[in-house]
Amino acid sequence: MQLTIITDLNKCVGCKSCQVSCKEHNTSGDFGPVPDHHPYREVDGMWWNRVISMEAGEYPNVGVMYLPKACMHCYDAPCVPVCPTGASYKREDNGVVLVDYDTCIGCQLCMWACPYGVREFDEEQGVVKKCTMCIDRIEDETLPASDRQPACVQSCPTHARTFGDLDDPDSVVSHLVAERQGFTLLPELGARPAVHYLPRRQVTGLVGEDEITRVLEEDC
Amino acid sequence: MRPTWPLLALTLLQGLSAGMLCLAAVALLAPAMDIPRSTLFVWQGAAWVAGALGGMASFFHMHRLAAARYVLRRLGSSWLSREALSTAVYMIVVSFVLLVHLFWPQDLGVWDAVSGLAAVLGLAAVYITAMLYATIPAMRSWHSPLTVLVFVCAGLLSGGAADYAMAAGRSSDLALRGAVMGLAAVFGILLSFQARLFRQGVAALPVGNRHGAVRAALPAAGFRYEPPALPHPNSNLAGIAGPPAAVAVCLSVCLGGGYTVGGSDLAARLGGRHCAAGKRGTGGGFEPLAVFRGCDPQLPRLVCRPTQDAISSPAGRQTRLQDAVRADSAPNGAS
Repeated sequence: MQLTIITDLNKCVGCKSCQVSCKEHNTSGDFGPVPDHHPYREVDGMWWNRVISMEAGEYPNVGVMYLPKACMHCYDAPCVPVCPTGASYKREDNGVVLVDYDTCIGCQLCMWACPYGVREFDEEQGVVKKCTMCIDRIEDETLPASDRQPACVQSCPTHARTFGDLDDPDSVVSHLVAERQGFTLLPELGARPAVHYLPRRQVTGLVGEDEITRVLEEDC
Repeated sequence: MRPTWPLLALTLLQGLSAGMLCLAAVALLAPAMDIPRSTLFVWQGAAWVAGALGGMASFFHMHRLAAARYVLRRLGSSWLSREALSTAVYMIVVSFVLLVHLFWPQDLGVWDAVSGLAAVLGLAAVYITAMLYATIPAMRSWHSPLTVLVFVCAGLLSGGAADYAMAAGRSSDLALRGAVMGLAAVFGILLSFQARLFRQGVAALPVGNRHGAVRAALPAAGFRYEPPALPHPNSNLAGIAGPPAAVAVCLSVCLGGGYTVGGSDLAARLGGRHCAAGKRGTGGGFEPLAVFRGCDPQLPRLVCRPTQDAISSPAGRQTRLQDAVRADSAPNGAS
């Protein structure tokens, strides 16, 4: 079993609600807090999930793509074998990569080893923190079924994110990856990330001039 | 991300210590170098001091000493775990070398043997430290056997130079001088290869060539690309245009989307990009209101609002919007 989150880049509008809901839940969750060291001066504190905006092309042929980037929960996670104390580990039953704060010495070698730069250091607590795939929610049997999914998946207003088991060939996420050419980031580094993205497709058919004229006439 | 000072201190001092001890062992086992044993003992003492300082510095790298007792748990997979063990064993053996010379000065055979063992352990410790960095595939500029060679060579060179400085004027140190100069030459060659790796790593970054700090590579640059810190959007607004810009944005939105962003001659004077849409920035039913700088200070944008005529005349508004659509769909600069 390998839990994963699939993001459809066609649907992501870059609203960052996944980023905010992640911080909101995890600050009060079992693996929190997700601190801002200077909340009134520097808004860019710790985020386990960051939406990256990328601009491509020259004006006027410009496009912007949004890419929510959190822990990839790799099959061969490079952050796990480098940890000297075993604080960074991958769960055998569901494949989620976690950090045990009690044994972490804060050496930050895992942050160097992670190709995706998704691990963040908590200066106050002296430990490295990262996305837990909301393990405290998905394993909490007291929650209703609709809440037993990662906060970022639940909050996505366009339903761009899907949560499921990638090892199950019949799961929704496996079908999405297989049918829509799901890809991973930096596959050449051999980490085999579990988190996949569905590629963005070109949208054809721009609004014609006659249509604009019609709308304007109706408007005026 | 940059290495912290305890990490740099441990790496440099460990290499220095192992280098000094290696040269002392070579001089002990090769009497042709003709260096007095008292000098060799001074070298070994200095090696102990350097190693001890490096070891102490490494404790400052740990943010939670409470968990330090788990540090040898992953000897099977983690080079950092192995580094902790090898450094500790090395320091114990170096201490033993000093004790042997102090308390059993007549046992020259034992001293020679333990010195040789300490030198081998020192080299092993430097090798393990280097492997810690060389085995991280995500670090493109380190992930190479060259890293190990540079680490070992840097240790031998710094140790040799320190030994040479301590032995100066005491003996015929021609061989020592030759060894140091040879090491310096090898180190220079290795560094030039490593610099090539760094350049390739930077070139592979999609944005690296536009970022001076990354382009400059070592040691001031981030070891992985970090975009320069963005100023707070509000501070930009206040600093450049002040409240009028905020009013302009609100006003423009309230006026039914009748605002535009894009460079005009004003923006061009500020070094901004003069784009096709800029032609409708002023004139054609628009008047300039303020300059707004977003997160990118290189791209100041002119915030405009529709003129009163354009608002009151539906025909004027329609013409202007059609012009805008043409400008948007035309290739850059060809409107």
